[in-house]
Amino acid sequence: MNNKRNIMLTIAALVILFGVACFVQAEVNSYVRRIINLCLVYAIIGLSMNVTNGFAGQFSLGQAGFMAIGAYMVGIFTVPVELRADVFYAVPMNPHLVNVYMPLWMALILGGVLAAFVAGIIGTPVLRLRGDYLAIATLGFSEIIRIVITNATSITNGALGIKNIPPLNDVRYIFMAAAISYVLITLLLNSSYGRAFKAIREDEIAAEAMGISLFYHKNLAFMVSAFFAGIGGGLYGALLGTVDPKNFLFTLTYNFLLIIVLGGMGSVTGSMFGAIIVTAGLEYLRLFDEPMELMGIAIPLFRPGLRMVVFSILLMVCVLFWRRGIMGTNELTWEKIISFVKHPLSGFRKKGVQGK
Amino acid sequence: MIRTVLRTEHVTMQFGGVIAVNDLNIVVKEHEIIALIGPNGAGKTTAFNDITGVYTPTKGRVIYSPAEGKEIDITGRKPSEIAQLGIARTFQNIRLFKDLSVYENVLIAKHLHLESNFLAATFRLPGYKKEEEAMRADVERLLKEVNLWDVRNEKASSLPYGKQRYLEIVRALATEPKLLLLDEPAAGMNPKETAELTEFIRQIRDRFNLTIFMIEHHMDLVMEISNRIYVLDFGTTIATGDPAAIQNNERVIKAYLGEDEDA
Repeated sequence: MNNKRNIMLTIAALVILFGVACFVQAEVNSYVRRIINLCLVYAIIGLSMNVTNGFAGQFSLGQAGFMAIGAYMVGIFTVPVELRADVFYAVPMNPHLVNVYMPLWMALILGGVLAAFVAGIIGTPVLRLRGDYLAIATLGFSEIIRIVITNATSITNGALGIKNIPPLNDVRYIFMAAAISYVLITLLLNSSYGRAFKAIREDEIAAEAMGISLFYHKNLAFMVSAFFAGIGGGLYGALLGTVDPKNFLFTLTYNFLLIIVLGGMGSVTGSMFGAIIVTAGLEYLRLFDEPMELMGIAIPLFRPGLRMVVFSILLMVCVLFWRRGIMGTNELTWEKIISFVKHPLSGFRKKGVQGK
Repeated sequence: MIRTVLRTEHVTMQFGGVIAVNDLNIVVKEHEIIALIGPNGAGKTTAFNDITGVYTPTKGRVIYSPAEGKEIDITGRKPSEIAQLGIARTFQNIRLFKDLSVYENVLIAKHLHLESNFLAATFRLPGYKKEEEAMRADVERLLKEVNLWDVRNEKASSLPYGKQRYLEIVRALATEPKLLLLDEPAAGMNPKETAELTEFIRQIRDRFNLTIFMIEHHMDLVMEISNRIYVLDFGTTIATGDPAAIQNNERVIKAYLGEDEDA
């Protein structure tokens, strides 16, 4: 059974990667660990965004809002009780919440559930829209979430943000969260429900004529997407050690849009690659931000900010010449890896689409 | 008495000042093959869209009977609900899931019968696994029966045109319909292919115990397999009857060929 073999290989790969994560945690300096952690968190959120945008084909730009919900759950509940007075120095924290403490994992799940709940409420009216209109509406709702958070001062500490979140720079923890998210999302997308999402992406009218309820499935995709965005946002908050409404401006969403466009809309493995390339790329392009001398002459353009120019150019090149991203809607499957190992060059001849 | 599967009562569809379908009264009985014909722009596809829930008729009702003694008013219901009740359709301009494989196209059509919820599906609970296996077995049987099994891994859009038409019918069949609506199934086919399709339609009707209601322009096909024909012109039904009667009907000939100037 190829199926069984693939499951075993996936488990083996995850175990090996977890081993790598343990090694990285023990041996690598905290700067590199932070970048790896950021890659993993961005991968979770990129994946979550791909569920609605890539698989269900609904162009939503609300990810930053859902991340904010998750991040604030972590901010509100995981700051040690004795440190809370320091954080909420301007307006005291709501008395019902001030003594409520939760371990990180619980706050993460709560954040995911709350984000999904909010997505359900937003989705009911908004998902009737299509294309650009949906994008604008979700963008708007994402900002509304952020504004509400900014003004609910006694709960969220308003514009001051929440500091003193126990910092989490643990590659193992974040790797586990990413692995679980990856596995769950892949399982959902490979189930009959995932196929229904793809049908809606391909042709809404035909999907509906085949008995697929647009309302139910679009909402489901949107809520699942928000759930994992909430979890990713929570990890993001824990990784930074502080949450602040300005972290969750709508421009944050574009990072993830970039990841899924670059990786391939509708490809889970593509989102993974996209997340790594975007996050690591932004870090390693920092050399463009520093002054550079070539044979004693200072090159004039190398100054802070050039990194973003270079990055934008790379993106434009990618979008112009490689419109479907790295993976398109294909996945990196074990079949492809194995056939590549066996016949290193013939693997590109024909693209397989899985039947059974 | 033979059961009436589908009945439209005074269905009228108005878009602004244009009356696309006017007082349409159609009766489709069990196991029949009924054709809806008429010149371009006569309102045939609009009538289909009224029946399948894409549009809600401005006036009138659509009554569907999935089984003996059961009648449902499906006017204005959602297309997905109507499909779940057992009415499947194909489209005039083929609407396959282009980027997905032939196999997936048909498998997706099985989704509407799925009873497990999305959590059961995600965690691959035994109930879901059983359903998934049954779905896959059904699809395999269906694809083998219609000779599409060999191309199951091809992208739907890479199939030749004629095969795409067949695939669309097969996808509709996978929803296990009682009533199948075909919107110009023979469009773009040559006489030989049309003859094959005629045979195919007859076969699936008997094999899957279907009632078929179709829009078609190829007169050989229509005349050969229809039990009854409805002729639409400018939204109005101008004639009804068996193929022989329609062929000799003055109004039909006029609608298709225009007025004879010498007359």
